[in-house]
Amino acid sequence: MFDYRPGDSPVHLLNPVTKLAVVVGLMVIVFLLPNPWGPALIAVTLLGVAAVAGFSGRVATLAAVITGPLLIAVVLVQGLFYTGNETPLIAVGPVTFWEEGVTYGLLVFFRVLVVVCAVLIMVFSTHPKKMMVAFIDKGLSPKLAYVFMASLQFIPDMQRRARAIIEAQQARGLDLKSNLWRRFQALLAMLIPLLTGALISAETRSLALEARGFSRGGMRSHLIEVPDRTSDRVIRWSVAAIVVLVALWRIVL
Amino acid sequence: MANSTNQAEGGFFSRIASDFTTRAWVLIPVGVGINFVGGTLVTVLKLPIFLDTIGTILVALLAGPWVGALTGLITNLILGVADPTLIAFAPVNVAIGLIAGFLALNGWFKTYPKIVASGLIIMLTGVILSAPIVVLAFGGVTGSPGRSAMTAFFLATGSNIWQSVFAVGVIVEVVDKLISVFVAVFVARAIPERYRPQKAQQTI
Repeated sequence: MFDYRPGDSPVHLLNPVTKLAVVVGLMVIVFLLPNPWGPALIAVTLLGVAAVAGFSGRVATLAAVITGPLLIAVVLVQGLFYTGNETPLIAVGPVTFWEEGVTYGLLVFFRVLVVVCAVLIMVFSTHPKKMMVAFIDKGLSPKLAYVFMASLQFIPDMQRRARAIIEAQQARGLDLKSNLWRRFQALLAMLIPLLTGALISAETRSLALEARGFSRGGMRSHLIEVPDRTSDRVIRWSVAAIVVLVALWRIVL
Repeated sequence: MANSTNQAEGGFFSRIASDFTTRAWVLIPVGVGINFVGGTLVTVLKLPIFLDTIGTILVALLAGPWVGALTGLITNLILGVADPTLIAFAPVNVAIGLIAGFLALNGWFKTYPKIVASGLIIMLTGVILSAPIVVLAFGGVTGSPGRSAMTAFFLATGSNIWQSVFAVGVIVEVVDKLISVFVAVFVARAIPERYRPQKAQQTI
């Protein structure tokens, strides 16, 4: 579903809870590290992990698209206006870029890059259903897992309905190119049937869920098994230990 | 949320749990879907707004603050699958659901002047909560070149990073949020009585 790429690599075989722990741990670590080179190194390592999992090209491209504009904007803005600016780096005409600002901009960029790559690796290597089963095994309410999966599946459905309504209203004389006020009325003319149609199907859906024991508590068994191996536990504890170590190092220094 | 170990905490958690009827659970994907589709609709209609929280506000009106907040959270988590930077803004969407829901329960969506006030409160909530995220996690910029250029303008004319981000936030969001609340109320009012959820009787 969505962005999952099937595969057999060690990354794919990790328990989704482990992957989430690594993502969260990395997030904390990169925001504790004080200069850009740590996060940059971690980002490169993550690309290596993505290569092991078989989708390094996709991760690199997507990460570049997502963080590219941020890199340019933050280095420019911070290079010019960072409050700790003292050492000039480059002067372009009347405008000076300062070293501290550029370094800070790079720090922000690499931090965001690490988090983006980590999340993308997790998303590409984990089927959403396996993720939900793994979380439920660790105590997530099955109802929360249900709404997440249902929302994922409902979005394409909503988009199809929206397209159908846009065309239906146009067939009834709706003008998409008239003045601003008419276009706002058109927005209402599309949202109201969209919502009403969705509510009607929601009514049916809630009856179907009730008939399948949705609001009943108690144990549920799953169609698929998601194993939690020793290697998963080792990785989770290692991540926790590293986070604590980095935090202590920052506090002590 | 309906965990039995929380009953000991008394009324608060069971009141939240009572909001989550099966009908409410089913409404959440609808709200998430509308948050996504809102963007498509405004692009087709070439309207100068985002409408990215319209689903959250609608669900908050129809099913209460906690259901609205969860809608906001799930929206950002799913958005985060395509663009992980948006996960950072999940607390903002959650807060908008909560504030919209509580305002609605207290009648702040019933008359036009109050709706305007609600829109402004929701806008301020969004801007105040997203400012720390933008400044501390993203160095004061977002991916959008227009917003970054405006932030740079404020910085160049002497404001500090917090003031700049806040000012740009207000400028960009005020029109969107005001329009979003009115659209939400009109759409909610237009739902046929038969399908209007119970909470909506109180709120609109």
